[in-house]
Amino acid sequence: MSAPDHFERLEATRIVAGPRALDEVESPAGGHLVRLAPDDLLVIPPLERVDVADRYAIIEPESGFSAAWFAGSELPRLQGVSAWEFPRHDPAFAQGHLAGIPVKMLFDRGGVRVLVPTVLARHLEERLGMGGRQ
Amino acid sequence: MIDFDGTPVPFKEGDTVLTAVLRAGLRPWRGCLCAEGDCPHCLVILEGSSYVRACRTPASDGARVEPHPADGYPPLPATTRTPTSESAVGFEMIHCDTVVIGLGRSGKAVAAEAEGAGRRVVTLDAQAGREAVGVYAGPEVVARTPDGMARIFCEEVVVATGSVEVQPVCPGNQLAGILTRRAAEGLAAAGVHLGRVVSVGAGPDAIDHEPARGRLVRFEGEGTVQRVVTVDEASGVERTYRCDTAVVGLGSGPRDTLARMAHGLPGVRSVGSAAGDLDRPPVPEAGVVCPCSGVVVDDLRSVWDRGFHELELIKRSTLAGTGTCQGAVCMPHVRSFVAAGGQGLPPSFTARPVVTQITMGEAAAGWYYQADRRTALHEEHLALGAVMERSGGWLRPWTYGDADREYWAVRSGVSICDVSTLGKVLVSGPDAEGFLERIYPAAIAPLRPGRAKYVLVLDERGYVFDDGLVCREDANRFLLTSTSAGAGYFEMWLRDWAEGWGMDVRILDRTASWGAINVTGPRSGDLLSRLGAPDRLPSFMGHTDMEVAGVACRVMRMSFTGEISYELHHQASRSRELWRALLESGADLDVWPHGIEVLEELRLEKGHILVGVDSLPDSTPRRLGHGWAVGMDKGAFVGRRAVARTSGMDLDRLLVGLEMDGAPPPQGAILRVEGAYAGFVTSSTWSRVLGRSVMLAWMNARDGGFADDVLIEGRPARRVAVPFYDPEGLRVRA
Repeated sequence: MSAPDHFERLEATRIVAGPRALDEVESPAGGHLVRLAPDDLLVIPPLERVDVADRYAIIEPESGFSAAWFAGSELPRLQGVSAWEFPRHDPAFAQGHLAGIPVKMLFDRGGVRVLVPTVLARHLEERLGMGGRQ
Repeated sequence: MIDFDGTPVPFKEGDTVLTAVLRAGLRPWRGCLCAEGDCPHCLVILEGSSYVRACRTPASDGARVEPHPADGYPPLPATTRTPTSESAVGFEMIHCDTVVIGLGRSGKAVAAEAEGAGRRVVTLDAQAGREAVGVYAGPEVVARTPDGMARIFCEEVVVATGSVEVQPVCPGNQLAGILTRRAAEGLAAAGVHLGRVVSVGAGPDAIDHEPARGRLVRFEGEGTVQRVVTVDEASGVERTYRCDTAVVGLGSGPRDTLARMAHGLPGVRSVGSAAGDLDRPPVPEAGVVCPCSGVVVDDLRSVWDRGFHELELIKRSTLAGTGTCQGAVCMPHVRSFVAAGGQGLPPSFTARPVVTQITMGEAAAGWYYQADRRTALHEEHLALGAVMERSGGWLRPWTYGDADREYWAVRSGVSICDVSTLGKVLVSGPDAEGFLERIYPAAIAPLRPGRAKYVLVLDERGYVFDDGLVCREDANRFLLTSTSAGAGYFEMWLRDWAEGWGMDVRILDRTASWGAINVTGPRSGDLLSRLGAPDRLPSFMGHTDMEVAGVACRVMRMSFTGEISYELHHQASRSRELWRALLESGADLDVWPHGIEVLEELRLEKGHILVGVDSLPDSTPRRLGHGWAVGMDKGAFVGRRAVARTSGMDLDRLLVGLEMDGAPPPQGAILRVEGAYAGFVTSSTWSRVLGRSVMLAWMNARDGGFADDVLIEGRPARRVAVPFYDPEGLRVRA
């Protein structure tokens, strides 16, 4: 199905550390390293064990985001509610607003995985005309 | 048929309302019609929406159209429509390389060239129903399309809007029956009968007409033009031409409203006639110059005589060019008028969005209501019958329907409250302690791991803008809390200072990621002991990590309610199971949640301030009665100099506690002493446990002190020490 009807809470690991230490974090098999900022890394799925060469690193379970996968056929609709232009090639990562809601977008395999703060997920579902959870 | 002011008007395929109405022999509009959307003369009310140009509106069967009133403004809609998602105007954001506005010869050429170069081109043409209404920095074009409104983001905007015909300015120019040359040609081609036509200036093609010789002096007629009067410049003799329609060909100027709107913006250029020169009209001598604002030539002279000689000043002092057409009609004449003053032809003035009037629905298209955040417990609150309220950017339970039950659950039993909205920020690093010493006015170094401290947050002027807790986890790591409403700004504040000072710290905002439930009341320990390890519960102002009902929590013991309280901070994904476990395990203790209505009452009985409610933008710790939260014997911190300077000044105002009998006065109620203003109430409540009203209020100093007795809304109130409830704090430390 190309259009999801709701966002699901995402489990991940959040690491805030020195940029060089984050450069060396290895991606979990089949997972993603999402660099939110030079000192801020989101690891999906969550890591069992984390090696970060920064003794002051903040390493926390992250359950503050919800996510949904949109197939490529949905991209024009999403682009139509975005004031910034999506990357033309994937894989790519971008952060901005969709329909006025802050999101993080992982473009891959022609589609996109949209991450939204769970506290705002219902608003984005409504604004994107998603069916919503029952 | 269209219904034009009660008259059925037939129309043909492709007609505009203007064409159909004129073909039917009606002449409802005064002033020279351009039929190209430039002038303000053919405005109508279409289905209740005013400021619609008849020349831009396709005729449609059953459409109800009325002309604007001849004088004054159109009436407001007689009915209000409740907006629904179905009635919302469509909206889309479009990204491309080039936007071409206008599809005349120049516009088509530019579009073809850009497309040939592989650029993504969006074309807009008002004739085709895709009308640019504004050009903004970016560049960005806002357009009205058949599907609604669009924001178009691009690298380049090309304005190819062509030219606008110069309108006549002379006595009688507001009569009906006057057309520009192109309007006459178009209307005649559409089958509009023009009767006897007299032309002024360049005559129309393909229309039988009598050219009027000499300089135009005036139009004459009763409502409708019947005569054109000219003068022979050499002899001074006037000549009169009888007519049914007067057609003026006075030259043209660039249709540059959009270009003037984009004045100076990079990435915006004009081509073709839109970038051409103005056929400068003669200096106006009499008549209406600006029909939108009703400005006549005498008005221009009047402001000129008072010293307004710049085009922009004349615009502002007369309002010429500020109306519906944004100067399309008056600009050439006002420029000519200024040029006659000997300063040369001035450049055109800037235009303001929008270039054509849009409806409120169109203006609102693409805008959303505020997205209030929802905690992970939102559905749990609704299931318990909560009434939700906006608070600090969140939706929070105001009450669960029985404030009495909620209140006494806290004061005499056990209650829970969703406090997930509290700001929560982790700070770690070798400089963490030193960083926080600079951020806060309270000493941080003495704080031991596992302990917490109440702190104010000051700005550089020494004013309080937030408060919260500092919880020390270890030597180099802290958890900070802030107010719910201030959390976003607080994180930014921390990052800004950390970067500015070059301090080695890591900062992570956990506000949206962690849930927090406050378990409060004299039996809160009993409840938690059923769900965790009782011997590990922290003492007052302590915190520890432990599992509660199998959920990993940071348990923080502090109190905002005045009773023993444990805040359980945890991953938001576990909030529901923790909330339900607390309710289930505490069922025999009559555990019941409380909302922020009761929380307000509880905290006020303890005299706790709410920053932003009880504080003012210039509240110092001393004015708030919180001087104890500032350590002047420590090193530098934000606001220190200001605090030091103001500490030597007389206290002019103080946040005080007041109590009175009877119902509480409303927030904002005025304090009076001997009839004079003495301050106002910031928070008030009827205290169930004390049996009287208590409040916090700002009180002005009087004769170097603060009054003990005041009148509030005519009723006596007494100044008392805070806390009102449990002043020794025995209950929170029990």
